[in-house]
Amino acid sequence: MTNPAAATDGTDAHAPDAAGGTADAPVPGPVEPDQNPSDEPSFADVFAEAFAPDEPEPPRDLSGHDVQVVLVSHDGARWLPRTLAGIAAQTRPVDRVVAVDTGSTDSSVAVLTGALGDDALRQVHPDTGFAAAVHAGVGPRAASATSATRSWIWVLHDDSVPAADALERLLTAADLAPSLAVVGPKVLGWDDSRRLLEVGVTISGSGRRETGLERREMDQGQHDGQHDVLAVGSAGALIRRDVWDDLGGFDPQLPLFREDVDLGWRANLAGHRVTVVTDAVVRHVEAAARGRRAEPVDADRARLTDRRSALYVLLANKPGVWLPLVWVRLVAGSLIRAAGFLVAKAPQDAVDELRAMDVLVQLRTLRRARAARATTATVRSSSIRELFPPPGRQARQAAEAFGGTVTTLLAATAPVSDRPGDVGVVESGPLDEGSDYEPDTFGRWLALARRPVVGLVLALLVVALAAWRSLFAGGSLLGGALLPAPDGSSDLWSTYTAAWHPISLGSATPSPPYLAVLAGFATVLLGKAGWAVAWLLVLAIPLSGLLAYIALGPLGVSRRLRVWASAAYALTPALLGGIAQGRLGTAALAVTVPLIGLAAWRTLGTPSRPGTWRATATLVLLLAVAEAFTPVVWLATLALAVAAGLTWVRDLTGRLRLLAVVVGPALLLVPWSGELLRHPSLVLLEAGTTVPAPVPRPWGTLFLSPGGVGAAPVLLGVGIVVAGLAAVLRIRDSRLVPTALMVAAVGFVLALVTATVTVTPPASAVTVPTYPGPALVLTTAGLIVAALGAARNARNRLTQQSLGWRQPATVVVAGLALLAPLGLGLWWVVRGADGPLHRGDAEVLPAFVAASSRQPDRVRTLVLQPFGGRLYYSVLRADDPRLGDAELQPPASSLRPLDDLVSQVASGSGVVAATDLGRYAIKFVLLPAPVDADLERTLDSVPGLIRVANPEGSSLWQVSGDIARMRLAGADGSTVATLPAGVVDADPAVPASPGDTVVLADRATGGWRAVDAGGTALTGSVRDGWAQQFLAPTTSGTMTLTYRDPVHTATLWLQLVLVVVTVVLALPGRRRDDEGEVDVDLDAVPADSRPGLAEVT
Amino acid sequence: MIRPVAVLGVVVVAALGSAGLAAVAAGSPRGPGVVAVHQVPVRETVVACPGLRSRTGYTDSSVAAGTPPVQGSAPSSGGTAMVRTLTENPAKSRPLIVLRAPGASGVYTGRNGEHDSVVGRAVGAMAPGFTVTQTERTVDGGGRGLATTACLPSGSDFWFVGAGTQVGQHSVLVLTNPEDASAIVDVGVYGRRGRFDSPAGTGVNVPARSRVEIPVPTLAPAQPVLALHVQVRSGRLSAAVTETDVHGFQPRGTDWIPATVEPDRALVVPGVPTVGKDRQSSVVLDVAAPRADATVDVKLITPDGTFIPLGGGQIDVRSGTVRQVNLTRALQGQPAALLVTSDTPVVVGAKVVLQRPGYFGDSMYLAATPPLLAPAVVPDNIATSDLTTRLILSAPANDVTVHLLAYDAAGHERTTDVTVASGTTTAVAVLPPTVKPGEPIKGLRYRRFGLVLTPQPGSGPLYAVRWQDEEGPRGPLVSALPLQRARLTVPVYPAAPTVVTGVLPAP
Repeated sequence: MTNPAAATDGTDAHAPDAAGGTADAPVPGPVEPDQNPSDEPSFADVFAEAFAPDEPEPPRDLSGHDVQVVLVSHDGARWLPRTLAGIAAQTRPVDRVVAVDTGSTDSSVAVLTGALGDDALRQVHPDTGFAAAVHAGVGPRAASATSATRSWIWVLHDDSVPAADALERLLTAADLAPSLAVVGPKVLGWDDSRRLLEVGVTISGSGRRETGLERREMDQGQHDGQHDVLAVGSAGALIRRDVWDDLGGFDPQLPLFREDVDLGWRANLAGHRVTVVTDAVVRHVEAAARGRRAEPVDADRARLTDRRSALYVLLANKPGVWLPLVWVRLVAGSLIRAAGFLVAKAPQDAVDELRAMDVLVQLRTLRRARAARATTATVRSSSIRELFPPPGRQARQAAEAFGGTVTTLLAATAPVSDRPGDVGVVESGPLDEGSDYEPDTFGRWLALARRPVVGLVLALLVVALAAWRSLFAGGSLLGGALLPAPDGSSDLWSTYTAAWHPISLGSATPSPPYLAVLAGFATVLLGKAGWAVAWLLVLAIPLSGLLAYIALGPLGVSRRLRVWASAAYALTPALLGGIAQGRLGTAALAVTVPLIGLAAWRTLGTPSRPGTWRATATLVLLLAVAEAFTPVVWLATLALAVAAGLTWVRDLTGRLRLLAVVVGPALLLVPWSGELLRHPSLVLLEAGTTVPAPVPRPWGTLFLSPGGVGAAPVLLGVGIVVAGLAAVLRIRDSRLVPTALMVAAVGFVLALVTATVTVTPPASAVTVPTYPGPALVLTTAGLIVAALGAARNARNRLTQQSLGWRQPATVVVAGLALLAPLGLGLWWVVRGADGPLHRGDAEVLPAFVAASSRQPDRVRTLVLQPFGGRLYYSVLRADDPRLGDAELQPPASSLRPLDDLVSQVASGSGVVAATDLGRYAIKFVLLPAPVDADLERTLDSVPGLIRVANPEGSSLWQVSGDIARMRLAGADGSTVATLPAGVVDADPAVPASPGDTVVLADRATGGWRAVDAGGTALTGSVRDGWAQQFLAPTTSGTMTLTYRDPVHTATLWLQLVLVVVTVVLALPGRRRDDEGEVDVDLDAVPADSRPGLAEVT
Repeated sequence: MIRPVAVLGVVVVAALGSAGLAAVAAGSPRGPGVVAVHQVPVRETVVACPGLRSRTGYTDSSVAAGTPPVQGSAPSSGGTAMVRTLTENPAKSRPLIVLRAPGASGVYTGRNGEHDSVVGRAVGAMAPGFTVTQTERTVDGGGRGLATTACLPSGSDFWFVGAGTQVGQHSVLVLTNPEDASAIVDVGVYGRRGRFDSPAGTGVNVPARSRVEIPVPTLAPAQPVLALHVQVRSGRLSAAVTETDVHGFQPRGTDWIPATVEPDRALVVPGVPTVGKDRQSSVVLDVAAPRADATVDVKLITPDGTFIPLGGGQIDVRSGTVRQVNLTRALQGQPAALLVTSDTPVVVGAKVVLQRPGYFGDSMYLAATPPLLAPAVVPDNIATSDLTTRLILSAPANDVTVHLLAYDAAGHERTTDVTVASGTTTAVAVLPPTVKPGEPIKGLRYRRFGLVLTPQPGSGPLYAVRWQDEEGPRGPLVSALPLQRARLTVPVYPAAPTVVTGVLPAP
């Protein structure tokens, strides 16, 4: 079941992958003696020569030692010749060589027999573990050894080559210090002799095999000397035979990995010294650990074995007192690591990690192992404490590993490919490592500052800040479609997750998911929701410019063109108008579109580089963010996906990816996407309130102008349109131009639709025009990319052609195109970003009204605002309107009775009594400044409304009567008593009042539950067609009212799971950990051209 | 083989075409649109009268209530209209007038010593156009004169211009609170030299269902003219000011001062009657600039047209002060309306004294009124051989045609159309429906009748005042009643829920 020849390598091992295939490579060279090239001596000759008696005398007499080599081989024919040659070349010749082969399927057996003869070879079952194989090689306890001779076992792997003087130096050290029981060499890389692999090993608290070396540490003699260590690697370990026998040798429970650590630990506990002698050198491939060895087909994975061994060694050797703690730590550690592997998208590793935990419960095996160790241990654990890595180092390593992961992620997400030459190549791999390790920091900054992108972003930032000049301070940011942000990100989160929204008459509408995106952003910004909104709007221009610049990298156009394109994109009239109108959706879309384009490009792939599912997941995430703000993107995605699926995505995988791109974001945005299905008109709206401001005719969309307040003069956008249309002439150049034009066309059609239709959102009774800005952002992006595609080789083309109409026309188009961002930027700075967006006081309710609304009566305020022949009203609870409230309003259809009541009361006709407002828990009627004098006079004359004050230019009335959110109503509907209530839930003390009803001034839904003091559920019903009521309890006591919506909760959890899964899928995979050595197929290179091996042969 | 130029052409044509189609589909610039306002009949009307002040012997006090006859398809029954005295315990108040059918009128004549405010309340079919006026006719004594006032619905903000507090001028501010909640009132007082801070006018508590009288001299003594600003801080009520002027033992007249419209830059004071060219009659315009210095232009709208009075019409009024302008000579005996324009908001009123040499005179007060764009109702008019009821109609901007309906309790009706040319004023005498025009009214017996003025569609703004002029044996008895829109119907604006009210500028 194992691969014993390669034991005891690092714990960094992971499942072998493609690299294992190298074993199948043709094996030229000296494997078969009869195939040897004539210029190379056969191994038999070399071996025979090595054993010739004329070798130089060792400086110390080591004849009193008897060294038996135990060479374990498993499919090691690639390396065995060198290994055997190395053994043969020892300056202190070995006394015996015993080779143990564990069922090799290659020519290993032949090589071994050829070199050592049949007697020296023991063939064991392929399932034999490394420890057992060594045992087979060592044989039973040697009774024949004389007391005068000290017997040693020298363990070697088939892929480890000892230097010629290795044994001599090991033995010399042992001879000098008789207390040494295990002596190990310095282990260097196989083909890079400067690379340090081991100078003794130890084990960390988590079971990690620690070498104490940095990654890729070079051997410059820094670790040289003789050190006592916990253990030495089994490759080249010289073990005293009597100690081996006393300790029982390698623990056969350890099939692979860690048996060396285990033995060293036991030897140390038994009072022996384990020492590394760095003068002795062994070169090691670490084939099993590095996945270079072809595993047996039925073998378990190296990682699983590694973890099992790690857990076993720790649990078998740790002092008993600490055992429970160790056990708990290992369980927790395994779970965390498994989660980490999941995030790093190495699910197989995670499974291995979890499967390895079976060791933790194999109590009988552990007890036996501990009992065996107890018999040999003679010293206290604490005396060898210094042989273990200090705890601080582990923490530091963990931090470094985390930092490394983050760097990797960032490197993989930021597609900084700033080379002008890489036409059509999308580089998704890690950054060029060299650039990260520039030694000269100042030089790097200087180089960075010289990049055009820096100038671009700085210029855009200056433009944005200059335009923003009047909006930096003074109250909340609001106006246009933007409602003021709440105080903190927690408010946004709770609004997003709440099942019942206590606004107006209460609503169970699913929260718009852009709240969650903003909440996440605000959480990053130390919980400041206001900052999140302001930063999104301020940074929309520079950020979209930067991202556009990055995303345009793969197009391979010159930097100047990219700078123009990014500036033109960032200063598109749609975005400028959107910011002025406080449209978060347009701003968020402008920022995400470049990334969406990049991810879409990678999802679709190119002939040379097929699309990936990782890019698909990234695209789904980005689209979900964009659609959360501007659902119209979904329509564009659908149209473009259908177009792509019908034209050039022909394969099934590609079409599946397209399907995922269409369906995925909708699934991620559940439960809100269900709301979209129910009210399809919402697709044309975007985040924020619906602003019923007039929008000019659709002609403006021809010039990318969204219209409405704050829109740039229509003609400023002409340059981009002309440049994009000119690209039509180069439509046959590449696939890029038609693709980009397709995007532009879809955007244009959607812009026309949004500029033409009016919709009635479910939360509004008024028909409002839709804003074409988001669709125009798509159009702009498409036109700009098309123009870039056409301009790629324009200079060459034009200079090659004879002078005609093309050259001057190009100059005109280029001039117009250049003017667009300049003109728009200038206009934007002059106009400023404000209006209707502004900073102002977001307090609607006078302070004392807000305070009394927080009393247990939970009374509400009716705010009136006549405009355009309509009387707009809203019902405020204790809080002023905040971001998200527009989408969360209860359906307008459910407010019809209140519409009529408000309309009649405010008319002063006397048809209805103003006190009827009390049924909606409306205690105050507010006419905010500027007060409409007619309406004020009318309200003054309405019976039942008592003017209470004139706070700051507004007018306020109080509705007479007992008013509360929750009340006890008699059979005739009159209020018997008001009941104290919370914002949503309530637990008032209710007297026994059979026949009465408890009426809640909240809309009736299935989510309300009420139980009486005895725990009996009260019968609920709908009152007046809208309000929730319950039959009053028949016994006195505390009644409990709650709102629960399990479906909503479940959907939110589902959404969380889906988002996490998509994020994990979108994260770059764990970098393959083969950075150790360049994976050179040794046998593919002539042996004499490899300097590292020259001295061996 | 696709030719790129052809593709470009197709693209451009397609874009233009689709944009054109969209433009056609979108129609006019979009917006929420103007909604048709729905007019509904008023279902409840509550008005309060400042109170009868019957004096022994010489005074006839009466309250008249009425609703106009039903027109069109409005409900003709199902409702009552009732006038009661205002008492703290509503159960104890006795109904003075009960009306049961539209078109009915009722008069209650007070008895001696009565001193009560009255409240009129109409519900259901009786509510539209329900109007209550009160009249006091004192033929002799210190309070001699004819005084009328309309009873007003409760409000929270009133302006009165014209009261004086010099020796002989007895002016009283009457605050009537017919509501169930008490009201707190601040009275701002502006005099010839500026604003007064008077503790007597600050935080006046008017308990529920009661009346409070504040003698104006306690607010600002010895002022020839004052502007009073009654602001209701909480609750609501109706306010009225009356003034009686006595010079020694010689009565100079009495009347109620109608509330004038709040400060504005352009105001019309209608109803200046024909004033004899003798020295003892006078027309004085009072202009108060409560907020800022004002430069005021006055024009006269007379039967001959609109002109600037002789001697120039421009007056400077310092901030917070009231100025008087005597227009008697400028008017030259013509009925008129005063058109007041100013660079800052002002409030205006006028006092007219009519007196023939050798006889006692009587005063009447005018105020700026809002234009009459909807029907007005005067339930109680009197015609005798001595008393003439006239309407002074002014049309400052456009030609106006008024439809006059005179009706009486017996069911007689007569309609007349009167046209007022643009920029002119017309005074027309109105007669009971049973009296033919030109026919002299015989005897002193009151013939009571109601009037409904309906400006015809297409007319410009109309300003109207009813003027009663009685040739008493000891001199004229006059009173003016500015006409205001009757609450027949009210516009019901469709209400729409929104989230932006108060947070954002109007949608």
